[in-house]
Amino acid sequence: MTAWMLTFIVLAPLTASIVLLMLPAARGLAIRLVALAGGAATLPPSIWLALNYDRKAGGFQFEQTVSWVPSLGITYHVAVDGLSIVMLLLTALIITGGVFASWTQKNRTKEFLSLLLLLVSGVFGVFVSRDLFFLFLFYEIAVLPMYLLIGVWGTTTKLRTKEDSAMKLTLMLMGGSALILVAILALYFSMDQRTFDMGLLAQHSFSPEMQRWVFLLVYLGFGVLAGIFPFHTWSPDGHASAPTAVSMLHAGVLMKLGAYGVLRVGVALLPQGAHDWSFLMGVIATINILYGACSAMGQTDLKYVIAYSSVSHMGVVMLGLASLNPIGVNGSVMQMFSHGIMTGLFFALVGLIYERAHSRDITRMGGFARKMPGVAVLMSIGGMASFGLPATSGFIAEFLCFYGMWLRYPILALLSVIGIVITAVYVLRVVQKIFLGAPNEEGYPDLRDARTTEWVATVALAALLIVVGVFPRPLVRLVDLGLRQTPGVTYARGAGAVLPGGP
Amino acid sequence: MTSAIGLIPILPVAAAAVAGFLAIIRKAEKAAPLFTLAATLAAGVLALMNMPGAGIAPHVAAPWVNLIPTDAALAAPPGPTHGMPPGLSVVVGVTLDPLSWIMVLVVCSVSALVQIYSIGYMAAEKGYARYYCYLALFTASMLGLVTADNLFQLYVGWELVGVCSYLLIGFWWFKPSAANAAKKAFVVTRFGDVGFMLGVLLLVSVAQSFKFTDVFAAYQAVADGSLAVHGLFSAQTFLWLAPLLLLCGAIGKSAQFPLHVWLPDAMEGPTPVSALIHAATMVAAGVYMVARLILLFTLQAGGGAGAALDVVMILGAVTALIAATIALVQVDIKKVMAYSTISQLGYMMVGLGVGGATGQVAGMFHLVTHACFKALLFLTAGSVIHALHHAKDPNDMRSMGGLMRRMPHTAITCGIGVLALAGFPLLSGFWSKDAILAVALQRAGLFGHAAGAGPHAHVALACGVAGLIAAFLTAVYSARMWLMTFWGKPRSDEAAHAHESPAVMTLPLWALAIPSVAAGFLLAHGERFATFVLGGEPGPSHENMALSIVASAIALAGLGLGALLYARCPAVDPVTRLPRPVYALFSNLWYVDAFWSAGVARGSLAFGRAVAWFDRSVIDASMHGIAWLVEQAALGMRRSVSGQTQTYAAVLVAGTVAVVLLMTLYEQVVGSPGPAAAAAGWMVRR
Repeated sequence: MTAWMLTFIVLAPLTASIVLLMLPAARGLAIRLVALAGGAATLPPSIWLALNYDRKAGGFQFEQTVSWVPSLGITYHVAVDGLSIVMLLLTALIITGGVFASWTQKNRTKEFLSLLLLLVSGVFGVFVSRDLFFLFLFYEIAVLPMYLLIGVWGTTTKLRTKEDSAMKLTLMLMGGSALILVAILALYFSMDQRTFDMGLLAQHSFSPEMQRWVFLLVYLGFGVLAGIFPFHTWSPDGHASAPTAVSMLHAGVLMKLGAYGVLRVGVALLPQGAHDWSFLMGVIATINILYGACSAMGQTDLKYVIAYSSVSHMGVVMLGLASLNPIGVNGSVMQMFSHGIMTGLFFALVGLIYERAHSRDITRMGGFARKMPGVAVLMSIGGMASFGLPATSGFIAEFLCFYGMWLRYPILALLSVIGIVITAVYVLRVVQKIFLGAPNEEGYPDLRDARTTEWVATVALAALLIVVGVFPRPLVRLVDLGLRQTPGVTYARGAGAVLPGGP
Repeated sequence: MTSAIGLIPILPVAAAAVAGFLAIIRKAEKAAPLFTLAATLAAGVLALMNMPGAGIAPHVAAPWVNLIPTDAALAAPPGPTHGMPPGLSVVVGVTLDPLSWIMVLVVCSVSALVQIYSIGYMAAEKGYARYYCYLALFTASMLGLVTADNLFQLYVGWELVGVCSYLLIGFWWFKPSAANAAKKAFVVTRFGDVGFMLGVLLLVSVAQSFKFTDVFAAYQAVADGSLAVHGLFSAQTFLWLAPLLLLCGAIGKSAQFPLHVWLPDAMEGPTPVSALIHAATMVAAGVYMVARLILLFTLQAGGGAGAALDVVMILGAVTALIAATIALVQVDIKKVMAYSTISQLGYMMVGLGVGGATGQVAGMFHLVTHACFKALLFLTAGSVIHALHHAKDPNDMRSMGGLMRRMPHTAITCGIGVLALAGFPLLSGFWSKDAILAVALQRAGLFGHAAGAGPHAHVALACGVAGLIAAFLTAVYSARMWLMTFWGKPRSDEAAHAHESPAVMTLPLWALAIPSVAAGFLLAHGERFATFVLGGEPGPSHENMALSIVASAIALAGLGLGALLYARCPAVDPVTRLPRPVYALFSNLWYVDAFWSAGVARGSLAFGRAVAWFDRSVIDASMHGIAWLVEQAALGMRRSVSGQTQTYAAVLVAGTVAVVLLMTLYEQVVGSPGPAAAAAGWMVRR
C-alpha cells in the first residue's frame, strides 16, 4: 500500500486532468470540484509521508520499482527522502491554493484546469523520480503546458503580447531542456551498465573532466528554469502575462524544479563538477540577488515587481546551493519552500487586486487598505517573509543560505547580504504605494476585500509562512536527513579551520 | 518557579493574539488593553520573582534549530565545537542575568504605563485593538531581545522590534507622511542591520556557537593566538572588524550619526509609542547590545588602547553634540525631544566607549534613568498635544505658551523631566550623566585616573569635553522647550482653551516623575547599580566631587541662559538670531537628511530604474537578438531546401567528389588512411 503512495500522488492530478476533459463544459461547479479533488488529494498523502518518514533510517524511502524498458535500462523508480517530501508538500499546497485562486476563472475553465493539473502531475513526477529518463519525461510534462496556459489564458501587457511571452518562455526553457538531455545521455553512455537509475549513477565516479563539463550543462539547463542571470528574462514577461494560478504554480513550484534539478542531477551525481563550478554558481547567484532586487525596485507594474523579486529570491536559493555544505543547501531547500509559499501568496493577492482595480500600475494606486484591509494584512505578511523577517519562514531560510555561503565564499555572502536592504526597500515601497497613504478611491469603484473561496488559499499560505517561521525545526530536520546522504554536500572541512575562505 | 520565566515574552504574544483577534472582528475593542496590560504586568512580576543573585541567573531554554554534522554531536556537551566541521545549533530561551533583568523591568514598567496612558490618549481613535496588538507584540519582541543569551535570539528580537516600530510609526497609515516615516525608519535601520548580520556571521563562524559566553571565549582565544583564523581576514582584522560590524546595527537602531535621520521622522507615530519605543526601549537596544557585548569591544584593546572603543566613543560624542544643536532650533515639541533622545543615546555610547565593566555600567545607568525621564517627557508632550489636538499643528511650540495654569499636572511633571534631562543637581539625569563624564574624563587623566584597557586618552578627552558642551546645550534647549510650552501667555486660541488630560493620563506621568527624581540617587548611592550589574563585586567608585560641581555649574548655567532668554516669552525666538550660517546649519539638520534623501534615496531609486531599463534593453534584448539570429539563419537555410532535384543531385556529386579528393590528398601527404577514410570503412563494415 505504502509503495503506491508516490505513484498515487503523481497520478491523482493526472486522473483529474483526464476526467475533466470528459465533463461537459457547462457543469461549472462539477469541473471545479473535480479539479479541487485532484489537487487536494495530494495533500493528505504528502503530509502522511512527512509524518511517516523514518527519521532514524534516513535516505530514500517509500520506494517503488517497475521495470519499464529493460533493454535500455529504463525503470519506473520512485522514492523520496526528506528533501523531496518538503517539495511535495509545497507542490500540494500550491496546487490546492491555485485551484482556489482560479475558482472564478470563466474562460474555458475545463481546459484550463485540466492543463494545470497535467502540469502539476509532471512536477510531482520530477520530485519523486529516481530514474533520469522519467525525471526528464516528467520535467517536460511540467514545462510544456505552460505554453498553452499563458498563450490562451494570459493577459497581454504593454510590453508583450501573451503569445509572445508564452513563446519566449517555452523556447528558453526548451533550450535548457536540450542541454539537460545532452547531459543525461552523456551520463548514460559513459557507464558500462546501461541505466538511468540515479542511485546507480551516483555510485559511479565519473572522470573529473567529464564531471566538469556535464555539470555545466546540467547547471545551465536546469538553471534557466531557476531563473539564473542572464537567462531569467523569460520570467518577468511570462509571469506578467500568466493568469493567477499559473503564476502561482510557475513561480511557486516550477522555478524550484530548476534548483532541484541542479541539486539532484548536478550536485548529487557529479560532486566534483559541482565543486569546480561552485564559485561561478555563487557569483551568478549573487548577481541574481542584487540585480533582481534592484530591477524590482525600478518597476511600476505590480506583477513585474513580484516577478523580479522571484529572480532575486531564486538567487538566494542558488546561493545556498552553491555553498555545497549542508547548512547552505538546507537553507536553499528551505528557501525553495518559503519562496514557493510566499510567491504563491503574492500572485494570488495580485490577482485579487488586479481583478478589482483593473490595473497593475502601482503608481496609480494608494490607500487600498481602507477597502481591502484583509488583503493588505496578508500582503504585508508575504512582504515580511520576502525580506526575511524573523518569525517568518523567509528568515531561517535566508540566514542558512547566507551562513552556508559565508563558510565557503565569505566575499559573496558579504555582497549578497546587501540584498536584504534592497528587498526591504522594494517590498515596503509596493506596500506603501498600493495600500497606504490617502485613499485613491474615485478611480476604483470595484475595490473590496477578498471573499469566501479567495480567503481559503491566501490565509492558509500566510499562516503557513508564520508557522514555519516560528517552528522551522521539523522541516529543517526533514531536509537535513535528505542532505546527509547526498554526495557532493558535505560538512567536510579541515579541523581547526574556523574562518572561511576555501577548503 | 524558575521555569515560569519562559513565559515572560510569551504572555505578551498571547495578549497580542487576543488583541489582534478583537481588531479583526471589530468587537469589544475596548477590552484589548485589559489583556495586554495584564500580560505585561505578569511578565514584570515574573521577573521580579526571579531576581538574579550572586552568580545565579535564572535560565530556561529550548532548542530551535539543529544542524549538526553527526548525530553523535547531539550528545556532545553544549559549547563551542572547535575542530569539528561547522554546524549550526540555535537554542532560544529566557535568561535573567542582571543586565537582562534590569532591561526587563524597564521594558515592562514603561510599557505598562504607556498602555495605561494610551487608554486615554487613544480613546477616540479607530483601530484601538490594533494599536494594543502592536504594543503587545513590541513588548514581547523587546523582552525576547533583552532576555537572549545568544546572538541569534538577539538578532531575531532586534528585527522584530524594528518591524513593530514600523507598524506603530505607520499606525495612521492613511497619512502619507506617516507611511513615509515608517518606511524610512525601517529601511535606515535595516541599513545598519546588514553590518549586524555580517558581524553575527563572522563571530559565529569563528566561535561555532551563538552563545555570548562561547563567542567571548572564542574571541579571547583569537586575541591570545590560541585559535587560528584564516581565510578572508587576518586575526588582527577579525578582532576589530567583528565589533565594528555589530556596532553598525547599533548605529541604525540607536539612531547614531549618520543613521539617526529616521528617529525624528518616527515622531509621526502616536506619542505614547514615541515614549515607549523611540525614547525608552527600542532605541536603547543598540546601547544594550554594545553593553552586553562590551567584552568584544574591550578585549581587542588588549593592554593598551582599542580602535573599536575609539569609534564607539567618537560616534557617541559626535551624535550627542550634533543632535543637541539641532534640538536647540526645533519648534516642533516632539522633534525637540527626538533630537534630545538622539543626543542622550550618544551620551550612552560615550559611556560605553570607555570599555570594560566601567563603561558598561555607565552606559546602562544612563539608559535606565533616561528611560524614566524621557518617557515622562514624551508622555507630557502627548498630554499637551492631546489638549491641543484641534489646532492646525498641535506640535508647534510657537502656538503654545501659558499652559502652566491650564494643565498643572502636565506642566509640573514635564518640569521635573526637563530638570532631570538637563542634569539639575541630585535629579536622576545628573547622576547618570555625571557618571559618564567622569569615566570618560578619568580615562583622559582628568578628575582621577582609570586603569585597564580603553580608548586612547586624547579621544576620551575630546569626547568628554564634547559631552560637557552637549550638557550645556541640553540644559538650554530643555529650558527653552518648557518655557515656550508652559510659560507666559497663550499664543493661540487652542492653547488658551486647553484642558488638563484625564487622570488615566496624568497618573502615569506622576508614576514616571518619581523615578525621574529619585532613581539616580537611589541607584548611584553606594554604587548599588554597579554592584548589581557586575554581579556582587563592588566596582571602584568614579564619583568625583570636583567634576560634579563642574557638571552642576554647566547645567545650571545652561538652564539659567535658557530662562534668561525665554522667561519673558520674546516674540522672536532668540535662537533665530544666532549667526546666519550657524542657524542655517542647525535648522537644516547639518544637511545629513538632505544627503540621505536627495543623494542616497533618490539615487538608489534612479539606480533601480536604470537596472530595470538595462535588463529590458540589454539583457532581454540580447536574448531576443539570439532568437533573431536563429530566425535569420533559418531564412537563409530555407533557400537551400528548394525542392529542385537537379540542384540536390549537383550538390551530392560535388560533395562526393570533394570527399574523395580530400581522402586521396590526405593519404598522399600523410602516407596512411585518414580519419575520414577510417570512418567510411567503419560505416561500410556496419
